[in-house]
Amino acid sequence: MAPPNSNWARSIASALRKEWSAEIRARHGFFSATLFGLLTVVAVSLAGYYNQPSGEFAALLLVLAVLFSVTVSVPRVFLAEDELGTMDTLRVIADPYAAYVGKVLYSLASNALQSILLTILFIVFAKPEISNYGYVIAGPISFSLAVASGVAFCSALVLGATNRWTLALVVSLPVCLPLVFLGVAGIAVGFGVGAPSTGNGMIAIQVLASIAWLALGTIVAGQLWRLDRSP
Amino acid sequence: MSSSPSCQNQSKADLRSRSSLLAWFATALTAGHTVYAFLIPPTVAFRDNDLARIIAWHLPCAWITTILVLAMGFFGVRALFKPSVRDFARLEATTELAVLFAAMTLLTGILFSRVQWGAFWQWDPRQTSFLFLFFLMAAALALRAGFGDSEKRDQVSAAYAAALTLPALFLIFVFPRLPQVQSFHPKQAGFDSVYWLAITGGLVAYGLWTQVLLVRRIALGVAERTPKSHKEDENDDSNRGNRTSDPVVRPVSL
Amino acid sequence: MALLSAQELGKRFGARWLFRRVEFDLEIGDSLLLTGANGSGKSTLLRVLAGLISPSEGKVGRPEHIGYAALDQSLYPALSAAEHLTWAAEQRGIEPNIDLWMERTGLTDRKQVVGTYSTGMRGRLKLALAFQAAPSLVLLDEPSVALDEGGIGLLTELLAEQKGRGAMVIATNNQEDLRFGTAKLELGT
Repeated sequence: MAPPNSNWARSIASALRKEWSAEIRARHGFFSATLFGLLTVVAVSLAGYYNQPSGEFAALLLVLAVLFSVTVSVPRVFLAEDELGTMDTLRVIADPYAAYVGKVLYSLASNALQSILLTILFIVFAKPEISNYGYVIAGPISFSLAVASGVAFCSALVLGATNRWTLALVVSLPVCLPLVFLGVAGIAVGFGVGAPSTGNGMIAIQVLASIAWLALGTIVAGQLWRLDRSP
Repeated sequence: MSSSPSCQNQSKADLRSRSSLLAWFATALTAGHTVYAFLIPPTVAFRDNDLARIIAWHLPCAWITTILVLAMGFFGVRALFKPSVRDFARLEATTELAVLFAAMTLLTGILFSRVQWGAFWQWDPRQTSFLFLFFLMAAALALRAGFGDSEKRDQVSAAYAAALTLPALFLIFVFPRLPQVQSFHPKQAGFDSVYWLAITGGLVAYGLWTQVLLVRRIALGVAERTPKSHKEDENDDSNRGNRTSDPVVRPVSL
Repeated sequence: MALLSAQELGKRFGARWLFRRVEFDLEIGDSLLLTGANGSGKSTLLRVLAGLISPSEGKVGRPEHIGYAALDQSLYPALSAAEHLTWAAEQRGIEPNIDLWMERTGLTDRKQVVGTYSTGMRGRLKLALAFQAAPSLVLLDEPSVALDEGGIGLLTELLAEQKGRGAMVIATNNQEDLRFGTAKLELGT
């Protein structure tokens, strides 16, 4: 629960500012995660070494690159609290709901940016045939938003666990896998497969999924992070 | 107000005897169902009509998994917002059984896929959604195993189960019906009443087994989570302090 | 009405009970010292009282907002003391009073990040964060460890203020800290 005289929006802004300051000064974390994403793109683009990938296959490769990039970069934002040992400080001082939203918003913003970078690199390396740049850009962004908010929730759960990095991936991937189909269908429109109405629908569903995960995650993770109150 | 130890023992004994009776009934019904499912004439709606009888096990397992997944979500929400030992135990029991039944659904589905569609795995939307569902629930078990502190383990499991409802509902009810995906599963299965009886019989038999296992696992889970009384602990070497003389630890003024 | 109450409190890890049947009530002006050998459960009891971990049995009653500082608690290495205090104040909806706290703690360099602080400097900042919102209940784990003379002075000053405002629990094995307590609870006996 937020303190009685605090403003929730102010708490979220403050949490977001804290994440941003911590990340911008310890840039190696963000750069490592971005580098991993870029390496994933190069790895999946090797599929285009022999043949130009078809529309759906190219969409799947791009989706997988974004998926792996997100599943590595988002847990880091949460697990850093465990690694630094700052989780107690966070729970005692911060409004848990605002702290969670702050971390998710930071993750969403950084992953949307990362997904644009990955898409550009993918187009350069895999050379897919593009019929609509709008869907090729909006598809990965909406997919990364949906996946990032799901992974964020899973990462918030594993704080304090043993093997938390592996566990974060094991718990996140099943949550994200159903989204792969939506992501592929959305991006494939940009590569000339499917009608624009399908692409719009898929992108809208993914944005809605992101909002749903953010809302659900805030309620559930906030409940988990707040200080224990015996019944 | 708690009941007296003799009343508690009596109710535990009643529970055990009811559970045993139910287990015997479930065993008899399972045997009857198995015999019946093998004796009914083959249906005509499938490529291999004789082996299609595997549906009599596959569908009940899938339905029970769905019910258990919804129960997980329900107990997860309850345990998260109003924690109680019984709900934590219920959640643990439903999670374990949901994984078991999802595995059985997948296994019977894989066999059905091989005999009817020619390959063990077809990426059929329902097959795929159950695989994802299985991973969702298996992840719940992995998550439980990650925490040494039992209270934290219960809280995290409740949070995961509460949130699991969203992707689970999508996988069970939405994903197989998306216009983009094409299913091998028939829209309207051509089962006659004899076949439906086998399927319904399977649902009742394995539903009873689920009930028996749930009751016993919940009782065990409650016992694991309920601290032994201080008297019971007197001979427990793992305890600290001399509680027989003064079991309550209180501060002293300086 | 007690500020902090523990009823039949117990914590176990697996089958091993760390402590059990701990009971007390604290009111304004009370200062409880938790003592006991290493591994007796002082820090764990403090974490249970703070709500950072759940008890295996029993209940804790405490105010919604507390001050907490512990030896094993970490701060954000990339942020400065002023940024910590600003963030904490924004989260709690209070005035940060940065200048006041920087002066009281002696952490005068506003730009220096916590990652470059000594253990003692971090200890002072943790105290500032714990007392910044003037909470009615403060929980401290080994607060005097690694503090120099000035740090001990700050701690003494803050605890004296707290006595008039609320209650506190201090987990310690330092004999010097006994002067801060009005009652003592020894674990592991």
